[in-house]
Amino acid sequence: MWKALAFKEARENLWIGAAGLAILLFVVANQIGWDDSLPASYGFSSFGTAGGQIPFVSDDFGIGVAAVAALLAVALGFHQTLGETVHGTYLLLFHLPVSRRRLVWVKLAAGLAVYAACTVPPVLLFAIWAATPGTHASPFEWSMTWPVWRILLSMTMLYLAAFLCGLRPARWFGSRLLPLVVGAMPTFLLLEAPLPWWWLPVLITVVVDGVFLGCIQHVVRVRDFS
Amino acid sequence: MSDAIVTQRLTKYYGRQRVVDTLDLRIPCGSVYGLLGRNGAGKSTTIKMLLGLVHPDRGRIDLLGEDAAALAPATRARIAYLAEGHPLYRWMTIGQAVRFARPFYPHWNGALVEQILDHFELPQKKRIRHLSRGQRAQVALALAVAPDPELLILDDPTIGLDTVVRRDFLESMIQIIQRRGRTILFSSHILSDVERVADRIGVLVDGVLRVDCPTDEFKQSVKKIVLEFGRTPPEFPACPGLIGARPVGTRLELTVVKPNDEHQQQIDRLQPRSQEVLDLNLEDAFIEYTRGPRRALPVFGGEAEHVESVGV
Repeated sequence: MWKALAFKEARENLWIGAAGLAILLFVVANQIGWDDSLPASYGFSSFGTAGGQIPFVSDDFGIGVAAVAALLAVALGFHQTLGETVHGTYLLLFHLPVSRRRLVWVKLAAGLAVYAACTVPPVLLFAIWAATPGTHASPFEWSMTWPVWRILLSMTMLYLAAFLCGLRPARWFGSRLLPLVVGAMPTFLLLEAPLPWWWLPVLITVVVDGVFLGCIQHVVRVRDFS
Repeated sequence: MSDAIVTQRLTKYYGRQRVVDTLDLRIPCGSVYGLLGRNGAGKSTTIKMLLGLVHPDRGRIDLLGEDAAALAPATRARIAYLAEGHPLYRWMTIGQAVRFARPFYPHWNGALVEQILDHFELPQKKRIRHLSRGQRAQVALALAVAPDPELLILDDPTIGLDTVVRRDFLESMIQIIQRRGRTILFSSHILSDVERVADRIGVLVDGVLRVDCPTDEFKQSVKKIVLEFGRTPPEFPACPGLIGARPVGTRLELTVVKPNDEHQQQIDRLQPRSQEVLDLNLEDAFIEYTRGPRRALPVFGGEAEHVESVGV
């Protein structure tokens, strides 16, 4: 039954994930310079043919990944929750003979899996390209990729915040979007502020994610699905 | 006989509005119970509370002998729910919807699902989004009965269906779901549907269960008494069993449950010119019971009076 649920979630969110993946691949292609016809006006400078910058050190790639990953995370979180509300299918879902708690865990796991499946491969592809000798005239260490992985990890806070926004009842947009505002603050803190230890952003993300997961489970337990 | 559904002082507020008010309901196993009420009477909220989708503010619910607040998945698997509007995942094909639901239920009757889908001529490859409302209702019914549930809870199952589809759906539903020992609770405001199916009814008025009795008893006990005065009718004093007293031109229409000597004495005191006692069918009885003081626009009353005076 978990397979059926996970398949349903993956199938419903496939198009959002596919859109995110396509845009990220475009960003990577632009960075690598595989498509020379792409205009520089997209805002990303190329390392490949028109290179000169060091992969994963330049801000361009990180900004591109952060923007796309943030949009993807928010879109997934809202779609997984508001989609059920709009179509009235919570009534169908929560009458299945499984606890609400488990149903939501599967939903979250599937959402995070779609997010990871669509964001990790493009970054990995770029890293493998950068690690391949002869592709660009600059040094490369795998540790240089860490800031981008950190960005992807921190966006899980936005995903969970959007999920909570879509799940919890609210009287107006301001209060509905409150979790997203709360989730955005540590996310931007991690993107912008230089942190002394590598594990600190991980710890912050894990703690904030934990708080959001607790809130989600609480809302699922107490909310009326009418 | 044990009870499939028992509620004790079930109460729900939305904001300050009490939508279900200290509801005490007892539905025996094997019965078909029609929960009636106007829009907003609290039928759907009651059903959603029974299924744990809405949390009651007060009260207790037992479903199949288990506290509904902590219903075990195994017990939930014995209860089928047909939600209002028949929500299904629209991107799925009918076959995908069946394959999605099947793994959750230990006693899934695949042959029955195929039989129902064949009966309704629903191809498994057709997408839910391309089905009409009636067809969606049929798919939802097939999915609901497939786990061989002991208790079926149907929330306005025929809402939005045209007359022909509704009749077909209802007849199929009766054939499919009525097996020995199966309990059915369904809400509706289409009285003819209830009359055909339910052996017991409950009428919710503003969240209060005003009637809970066998269907035939309800029909037989509610009477309309028409008093003709030939002048503006006097006020009728409040008394037990009186549901409504409405002046219509020179007549006074009383709706009374089980008319008795006390009612007759009150009538005699008003000295009407004539008196007529009318039987009501279920629909008329329900309307009289639930509509409250509001009636048609006064202009129609005036016209009726005018026509009568011309006639005389």
